[in-house]
Amino acid sequence: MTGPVFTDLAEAVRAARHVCIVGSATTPGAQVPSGTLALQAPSGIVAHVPDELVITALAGTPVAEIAEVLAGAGQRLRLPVTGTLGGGIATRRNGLYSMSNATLPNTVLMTRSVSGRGEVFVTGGPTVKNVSGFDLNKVLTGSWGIFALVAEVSLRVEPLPACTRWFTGRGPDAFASVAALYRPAVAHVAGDKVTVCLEGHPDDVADQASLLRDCTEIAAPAPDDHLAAVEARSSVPSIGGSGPEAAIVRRLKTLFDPDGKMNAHLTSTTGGEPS
Amino acid sequence: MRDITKSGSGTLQSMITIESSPSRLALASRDASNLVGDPAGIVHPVSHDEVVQIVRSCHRRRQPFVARGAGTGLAGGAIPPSGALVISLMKMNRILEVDPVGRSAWVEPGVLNADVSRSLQHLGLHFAPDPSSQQSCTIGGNVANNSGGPHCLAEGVTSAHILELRVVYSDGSEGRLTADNHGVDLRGAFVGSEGMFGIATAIKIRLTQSPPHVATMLFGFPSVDSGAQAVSDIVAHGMVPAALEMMDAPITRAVEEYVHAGFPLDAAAVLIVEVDGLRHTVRDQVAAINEVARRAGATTSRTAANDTERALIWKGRKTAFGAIARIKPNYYLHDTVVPRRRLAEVLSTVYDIAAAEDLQVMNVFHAGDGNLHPLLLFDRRDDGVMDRVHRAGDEIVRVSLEAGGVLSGEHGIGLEKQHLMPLMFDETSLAHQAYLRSAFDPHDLANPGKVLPSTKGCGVDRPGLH
Repeated sequence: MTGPVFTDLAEAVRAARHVCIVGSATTPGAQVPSGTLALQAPSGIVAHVPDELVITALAGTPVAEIAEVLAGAGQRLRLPVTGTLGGGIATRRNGLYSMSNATLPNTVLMTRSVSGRGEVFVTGGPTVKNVSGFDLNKVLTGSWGIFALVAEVSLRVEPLPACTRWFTGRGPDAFASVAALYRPAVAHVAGDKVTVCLEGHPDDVADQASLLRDCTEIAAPAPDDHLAAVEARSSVPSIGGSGPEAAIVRRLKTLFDPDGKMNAHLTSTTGGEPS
Repeated sequence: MRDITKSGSGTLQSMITIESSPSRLALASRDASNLVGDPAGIVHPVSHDEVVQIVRSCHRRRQPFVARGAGTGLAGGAIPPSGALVISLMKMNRILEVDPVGRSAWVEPGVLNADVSRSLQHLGLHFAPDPSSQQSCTIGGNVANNSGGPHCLAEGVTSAHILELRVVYSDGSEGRLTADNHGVDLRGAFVGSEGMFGIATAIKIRLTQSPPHVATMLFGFPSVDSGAQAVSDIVAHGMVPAALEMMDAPITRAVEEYVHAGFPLDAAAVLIVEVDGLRHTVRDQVAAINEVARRAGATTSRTAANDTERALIWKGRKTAFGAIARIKPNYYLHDTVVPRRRLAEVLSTVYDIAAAEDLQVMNVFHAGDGNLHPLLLFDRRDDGVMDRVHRAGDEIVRVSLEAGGVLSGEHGIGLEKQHLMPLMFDETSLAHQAYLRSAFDPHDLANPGKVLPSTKGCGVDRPGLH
């Protein structure tokens, strides 16, 4: 179940007083506080089985590297091409896909992680369909490493569409025309602006595009556009809130990380963005 | 019968009746599994507030409770441990509000899965997860099990279609679960928790636009291998059909005698492929899939000409389990997942396992995601047959795990596969799942004794196995 990579990470967590999980510094708050052990998952694609639509990679792998390997097989992951896989998972970096049907959490099949207890544990399973036990994948995705360091991830991927086109629009006519589309890949709303992605058969995409009003075609968004999107990431967990859900989060923190060593610089008793 | 009223506060509370007559208890003791529980009573709240009252009462008395939907679960998830109160959600069956623009709806947990889609048909919307039991199972049950179904191949399982949950926790406190509760996806954790994290009293579901074009194809193959090859080739062509279902010859024969859907009786494997969406996509995919099937050696091929034909094909697939009642009085429906490329090989082993235990077996599977459903047929009156059925079942699970699969694709762990969890997860991994459960229910009152193997020597016994 565990290889040397994972046991090394586990030992490092056990020995440390405070751990700061480091990716590629794409996300604010990634500066390593003094007196903290900076811990980074290794990089590398472990397995890609195209006909199973699954890829497994160590969390330190740059998303760009994964995207390139997948593209070579006519596949993709709907994760903005920036930073590391682990960073994307930990911050639930959906980007402009955040208001779509296919967000990152639904693609995480399995992880090998190291909890704040310094223990290696497996979450989920290797297949695209799995309801064996409780869904720890959902707890780890978007919780900014406060419970565990996610070291390796298996993800469900999807075929690259034949055609992808992006548009933005403003105003009521634009919104109404977007609402009439059949399942756009993205229909992301930010104030009075809507960003749309149409994908699929080129003729179908053209037909759908012809329904748009007050919209302009744009180039595919850059990573920065994804990061600037509304709800691009999950919020940093707070353990100081009130109410039953806050109590659940606190209990999770105590059970997964009794000594409070994981990413302590991120969690505050009052919540909010990292310093 | 006993009444629950809130004690000591002076507030007027409604009287909620707990039923404990033998007939009511008998009903509450069972679900669709082969297991039997031992409840103290059953209660039918009609509102969120009544659920709160009931759970608070249970919490005060430290009495375990089990939320129950339609009781269609196959893994024993709704089987009440000794002395538990069964809280049936079946009277909470209203669709509360529908937002056609936002494409979502709030529903009570007792609403039947198929009723949601039926009610929304006129809006061109439906609820995507479509388990075979959808005519009877509830949305609350779908949430508890993270239910699948044939159309989950392209759409994702229930978890991808739950937006928000109103819940009552095991201490009677109330909350709302979203993808970002104080920064944590507690909603995602709750879906699939088999009733062990609390009770959902209202569920906000994602509604899916119904496709403008649908094509349902039926192919007959001379061997399971050639059918499986067609499935692989479809995926290799970069297509993810709306559904990709396979049936072996024995179940096809059983179904055809019952439903008369025109399934080919000379085929070793029948493949149902459905594609949907926009016009050009569907047209091109139909052509490509027909070509793939032809090259893989399909001996028959048919595309449903209209909705009636399409409905009949799906009736054939979804009532497969009912059809076999004509052959043997009892059946055990299994649920495992293997990597898709191992399906044909594992299926062959399943036939061997059944033969070794002198049992008849038939198979349907969600071929697109490797989710296998072997059906073992038997007559429980036969001497010693249950031992053989359980041995065969455990062996099928073992073989699936060895092939790189998982314990359950859809039915959940419940009681049925609890003892097999250590085959898939080591102790530390199981401990971390226990932490998650404990974080939601530190009192161990919500459907206790399920899913995770008990580490205690005593505690909740596994109810009678029949």
